[in-house]
Amino acid sequence: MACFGLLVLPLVVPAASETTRLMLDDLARQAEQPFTAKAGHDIWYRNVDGRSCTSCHTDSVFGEGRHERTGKLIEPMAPSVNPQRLTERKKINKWFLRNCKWTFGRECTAQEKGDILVWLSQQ
Amino acid sequence: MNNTQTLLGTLILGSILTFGFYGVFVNAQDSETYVKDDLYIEECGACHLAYAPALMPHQSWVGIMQGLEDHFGENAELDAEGSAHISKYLAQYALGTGGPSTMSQLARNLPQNAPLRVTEFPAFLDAHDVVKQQLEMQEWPDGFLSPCRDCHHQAADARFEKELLHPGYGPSFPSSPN
Repeated sequence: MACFGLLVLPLVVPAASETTRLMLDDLARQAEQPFTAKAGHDIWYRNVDGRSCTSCHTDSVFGEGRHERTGKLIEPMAPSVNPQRLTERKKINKWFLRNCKWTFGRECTAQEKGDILVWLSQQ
Repeated sequence: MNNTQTLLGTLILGSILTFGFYGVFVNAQDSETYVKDDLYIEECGACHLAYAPALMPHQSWVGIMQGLEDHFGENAELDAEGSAHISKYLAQYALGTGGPSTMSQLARNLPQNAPLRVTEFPAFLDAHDVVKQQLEMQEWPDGFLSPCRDCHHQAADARFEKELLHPGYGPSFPSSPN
């Protein structure tokens, strides 16, 4: 019975966690320190020259965001209210690239991406 | 001619008339047929209305696709595969590639070096002049006309006919999503 339980367990892990886990494994190989939710939270709320993740995603990842320029609605980022989030690796990479460049004027490091993913996946 | 023949004749004539008119109707619709592309909608529609390709000529779209790293101040980079797919779609359905439609009028008085924004096209500005007068504006504020859907509620389906404008229409910029 115990064996059966162990075999079944990974199958019920939500897709978000699975995608995140795989990405974190890869990112960890390029990062120097262990990822922490605290660091991820701080990056999310970091303000660089008036720009922050919250510029469009708002102060709460549980609510809808709004594109700063076009006003288009952005679905909530927290997987707990929007299960579609963090389920597609390609999508995650795309938005990391675009949004890190817009927000911080450069690509995010593996360390930063890992920290953000750890924090965001817990929301 | 017995009754059956009369009935048959009426049915045939009726069918010809009905389907004949239907044919004209369908043809009229054909020029407005809008081919959507899932990737285009996903990539470009994530931040703004996925503008119908027929709103700008191929040349403008090439300019857009070449400048995605600085897309009017935003980063809208695509991977090579996505970029190739979307470029092909835009080329196929750009302004000037289809039959007459509300959008095809945008080609009127368009300079050789067409702008990268449809909101700067001469025919577009002419068509919206009436709105400017209604709102008693001297100049259009930046981005004011970009969220087509504020007034053209079927813009996502590339329908811009005046008849489809929402009654009592008016922009609700900047609070409303486009």
